[in-house]
Amino acid sequence: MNRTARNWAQIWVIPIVIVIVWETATRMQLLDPRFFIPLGDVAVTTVDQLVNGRLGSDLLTTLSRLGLAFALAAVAGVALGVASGHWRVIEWLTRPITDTLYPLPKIAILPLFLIIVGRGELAFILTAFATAFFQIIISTRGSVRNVSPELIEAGRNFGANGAKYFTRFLFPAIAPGLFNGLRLGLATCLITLVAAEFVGADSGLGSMIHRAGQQFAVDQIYAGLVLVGMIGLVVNLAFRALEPLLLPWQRHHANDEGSLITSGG
Amino acid sequence: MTWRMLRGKWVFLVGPVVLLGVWEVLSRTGILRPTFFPPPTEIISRSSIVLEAGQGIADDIGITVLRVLITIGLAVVVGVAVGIAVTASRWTERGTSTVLAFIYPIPGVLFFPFLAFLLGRNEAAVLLTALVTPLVVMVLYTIAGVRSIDPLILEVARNYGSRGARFFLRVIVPGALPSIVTGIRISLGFSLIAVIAIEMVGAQNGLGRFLWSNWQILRVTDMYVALLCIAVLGLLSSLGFDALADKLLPWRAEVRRRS
Repeated sequence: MNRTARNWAQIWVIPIVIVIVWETATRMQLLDPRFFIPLGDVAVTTVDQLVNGRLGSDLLTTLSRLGLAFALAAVAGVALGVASGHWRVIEWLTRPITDTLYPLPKIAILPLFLIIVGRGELAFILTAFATAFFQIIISTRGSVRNVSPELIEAGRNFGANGAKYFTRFLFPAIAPGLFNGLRLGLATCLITLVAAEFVGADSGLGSMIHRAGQQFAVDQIYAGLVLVGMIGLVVNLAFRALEPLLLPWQRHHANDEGSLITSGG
Repeated sequence: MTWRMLRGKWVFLVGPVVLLGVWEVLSRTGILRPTFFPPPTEIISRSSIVLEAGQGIADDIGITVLRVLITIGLAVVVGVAVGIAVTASRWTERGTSTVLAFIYPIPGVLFFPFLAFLLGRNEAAVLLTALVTPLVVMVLYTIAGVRSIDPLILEVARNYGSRGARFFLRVIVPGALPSIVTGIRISLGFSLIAVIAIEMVGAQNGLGRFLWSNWQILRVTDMYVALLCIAVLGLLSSLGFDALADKLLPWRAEVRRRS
């Protein structure tokens, strides 16, 4: 067995074994069939709900909320992060506020947003936005701070001034940290968004699981969970695939599972 | 007090004070609707409800804290044990990581309907739901911690006859500890999020419940008080944890400063 095949096997054998064991145990009804459903049936339900049910529109709703919230958070977070990393005054003014609000579970602000902006789209987008925004601003500020003073000095001496300083010098210098911050921001954004939908929305994947729970539709709960897990996985893989394209000068670590994980939310 | 000293520490108070001052003025003059944005001074004076024992929120804070502590305790014990166990082989380690990478982006609260079916709508369902994400984090960080141990050290320990429980307690656990401690800090944040979210939808008490029921009767000032409490818990769980960990594990502060 060559090395890549072996790697691949190591990564996938256990998940596949779990799926097979689950499938046989549920088909033979070793597990209570009210709660444990064969994954084949879950797949059928998923497809059926996507085509005939509301799942398709719920999925689209969640994805568009995610896209909007993340785009806003990325722009605002990077802008404010770079500004507060670059100018001390802005750091003094914003840092106490961002550092206090960062560890606050953003899901707790949802009821407040629901009162202030009503039970529409905006409340959920704002909650998801807040999550990613604080994550991105803090990691961006950190990576601006991490640029070594000698490098900045050299850049200045070679005439990187004004707008050029930011576009040609600072952004390439902080790109790896920035990229990582955005990835983590998107991951936490998704988690909070779906949780917020679960708690209070009428549409979206989170609310679909809540509805299924109230109707005792276990197969739909599974379908929802699998879909959310898939989105998370796809988002993460997309970022990993993009990294070598966007940051070709970075050395890439093939397999660091630990970096998946972040705090906050 | 010199200007320099003033700039040193107190300068960080300027931002929040300005923000709260502007908020106070806008709310008092009615430019911001006081129903939605009550003046900060009013929120502060209302915060005294926290001290009234047996009056709702004081109990709710206690219950939320207790749930978070139970969750994190279980996550650490089970997560570290599982994490170390699966590193026994490259196959179990990588396979487990794949499975966990799939579960991790699913917000823990989504497992609540299923677990509530399975176990009934009781405390066990609440705690198990809250446990999902912190447990995943603990396992992944423990794996990363064991991986980070220099293979040479393992080799030396084995050659000097370190085996079984001794090898486990004296070599593996201390070696993985820095990563485990980071994992605990992150898990703590996740368990607070999960507990609050579950309380909002599925518990009879706790801060999340308090927040949600005040939303339904539109008692905005009490919601701000609850948010304030949650923010303090959030800060305690990150800054407080750092302070505690730096004290218990002195080398940690140094590592953090260097990184």
